[in-house]
Amino acid sequence: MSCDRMEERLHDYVDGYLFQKERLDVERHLGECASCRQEAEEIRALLRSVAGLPREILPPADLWSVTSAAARTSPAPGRRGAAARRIRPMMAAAAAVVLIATAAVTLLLVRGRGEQAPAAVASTPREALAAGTLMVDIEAAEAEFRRATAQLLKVLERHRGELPPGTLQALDENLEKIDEAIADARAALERDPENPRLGHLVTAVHKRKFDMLREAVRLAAPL
Amino acid sequence: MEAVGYSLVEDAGSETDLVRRLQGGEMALFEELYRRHAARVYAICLRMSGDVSRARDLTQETFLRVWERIGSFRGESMFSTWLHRLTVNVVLGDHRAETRRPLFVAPEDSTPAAEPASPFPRKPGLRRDLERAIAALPAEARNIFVLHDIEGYRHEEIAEMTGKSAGTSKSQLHRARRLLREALR
Repeated sequence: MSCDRMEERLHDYVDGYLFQKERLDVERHLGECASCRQEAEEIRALLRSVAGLPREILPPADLWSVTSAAARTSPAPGRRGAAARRIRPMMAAAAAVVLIATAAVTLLLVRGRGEQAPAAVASTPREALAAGTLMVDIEAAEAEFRRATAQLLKVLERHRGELPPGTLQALDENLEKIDEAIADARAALERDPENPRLGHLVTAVHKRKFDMLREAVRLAAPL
Repeated sequence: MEAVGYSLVEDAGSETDLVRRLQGGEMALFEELYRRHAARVYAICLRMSGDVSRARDLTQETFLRVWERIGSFRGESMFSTWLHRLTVNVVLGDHRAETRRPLFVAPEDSTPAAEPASPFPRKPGLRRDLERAIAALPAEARNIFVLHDIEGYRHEEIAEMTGKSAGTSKSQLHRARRLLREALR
């Protein structure tokens, strides 16, 4: 058997797809051909490396909350309606914008320490964040948080009736306080616009609002 | 398998019990099901799509389909087999719908779920290079490679899933391996 016909056979041989006669033919050829022996060994080496890859990779931590929020808009399994199909992309978008905002916060912290951005940050939509001033970055992060919280508020609005009145009242009061805290932090940042700690404070309060709303949605319509 | 390292429901019991109870209407157990399987589903979505953002959406879509279709699971195979096949169908359906080709940068936290969180994989160079090289493969070759060499499907099964012949599956697999060997030299 010539080497020209061997490449495909070698893969099949390594994968154990060949019948006995074909397998013996390949082994005979390998006994005579150093080049094909090396080829077979390289394929095996690749497969050994691949076998060492983890079978599991942790998904982003917020993916469950986004997925459950989308699922809970379904009245029951198997009967997901048009309303759910409208809300699902909205929730995915909420998660996406929070990721962008979180990336902005990470970048700010990194910059605050005078370090270079790590690869994980570089894999986020950095175009929106690159080469901007602190204030520009903060405004971009705030815009993303506002979009995300607005979407959560829409979902929550549909389920407000499922929260006890006392919880609703506490939620509204806390939202009001957080909005005040955002305004205060924002005002402080405007007075000292190059202070990264204040920038972080603004985005941290937005994040708190997002987390609280997400939890409220979870409580309003538990799976 | 505990995907995130803990069980939310103490008495969720075996996989069979969990699925049966979900089918019986105990939808509160959906989170338990997600915790057990999310890391496997996400790994398939990430490697086949080669894109972190798509992998998020595809994982979410997969679990929403589980939510919709759990009643149709008849127990003729293991639940994980059914779920992984569903995942692959979701990814391939997305691939058919639109062709995307961003480069996957292995996330810092993509450690195996069974291990405690570590900022870096045990052999960062080897693993990351390999993941990057897989992500950089042409989409069809990447899909076949992931299905055959990582997920362990045979060419006949892949042909059934992709709607192409077993011969096409083989040629794409061999192409993928050749490209990977070149990329890793």
